Amino acid sequence: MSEELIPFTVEERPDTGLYNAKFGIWLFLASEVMLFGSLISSYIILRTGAAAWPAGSSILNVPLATVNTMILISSSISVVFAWASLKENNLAKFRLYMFLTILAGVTFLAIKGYEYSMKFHHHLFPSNSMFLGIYFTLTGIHALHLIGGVSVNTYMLLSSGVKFRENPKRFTNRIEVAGLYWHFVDLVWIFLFPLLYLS
Amino acid sequence: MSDSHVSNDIKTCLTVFPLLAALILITVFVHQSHLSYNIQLVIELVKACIVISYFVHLIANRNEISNVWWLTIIFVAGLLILPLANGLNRLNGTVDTSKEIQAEKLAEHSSSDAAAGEEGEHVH
Repeated sequence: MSEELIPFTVEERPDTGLYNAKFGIWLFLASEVMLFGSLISSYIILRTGAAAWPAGSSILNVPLATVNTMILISSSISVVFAWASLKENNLAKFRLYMFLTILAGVTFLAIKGYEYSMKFHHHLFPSNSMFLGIYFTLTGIHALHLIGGVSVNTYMLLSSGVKFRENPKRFTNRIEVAGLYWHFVDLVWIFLFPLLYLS
Repeated sequence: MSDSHVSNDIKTCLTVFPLLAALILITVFVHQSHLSYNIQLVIELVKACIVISYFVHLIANRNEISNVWWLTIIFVAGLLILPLANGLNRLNGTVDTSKEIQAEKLAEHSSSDAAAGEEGEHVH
């Protein structure tokens, strides 16, 4: 019924060459780029304007963040494999790869949580310095995006049986869109890692 | 999307993944070696371009929406380059902030000296 009311949920629009969800997610990601772009721009202005700035590596845990970066990049690969599994009509394989993606996301968040707890344990709070304020703001917003991605992926995994049977092509498109968002979250971290930890 | 296209995507991902992992390790190595921060930034830009091009399919989707995306990236690049152009000069030491700081300290000293002088006059 809904497919009749809303066209181009599966087929590509002739004008854009994209189906609705993909067009929507790209517009959304464009706005997200502007959000993180402005935050990073603010970081640059504050940092360059400050008389003194601490080395990120002296306060933050670089090896842990390197492991986290690897985990996030690995999850980008697994989400592509999950989507490819649906293209091959292999739901079991999709579930496995999507579970791995979610696991990677949760592991990233757990490590980030551990990092935060260590900072708080050492009485390092956002109010202590401009650097810590920026660190908690940027990584906190990124973590919120990751929680969003994990929630969407979990929903897709749990409802995959029903939704894939109802309309396999539409469900595959949804996973592609969720994957695009996941790649974006990965992309943001690729910038945050050197900006905060290695500078 | 055809099956061959899907297998091509998987092959691309399998090629891109070790490349990204290697670039991450190189970034950390550059940091540990205390090489220029600019090198790290260049590596990050390369990594970002790889992710956008292959994972976000910007290379594959050459249509109107990708033009919107490129436009966004150009705007954000401008947003970052403007403060960065000034900022990199400061980080590299080409803009000497120490003079500004010295001037501020001198101003503070002179004001505190004046205050101390006034207090002294009151005591006498």
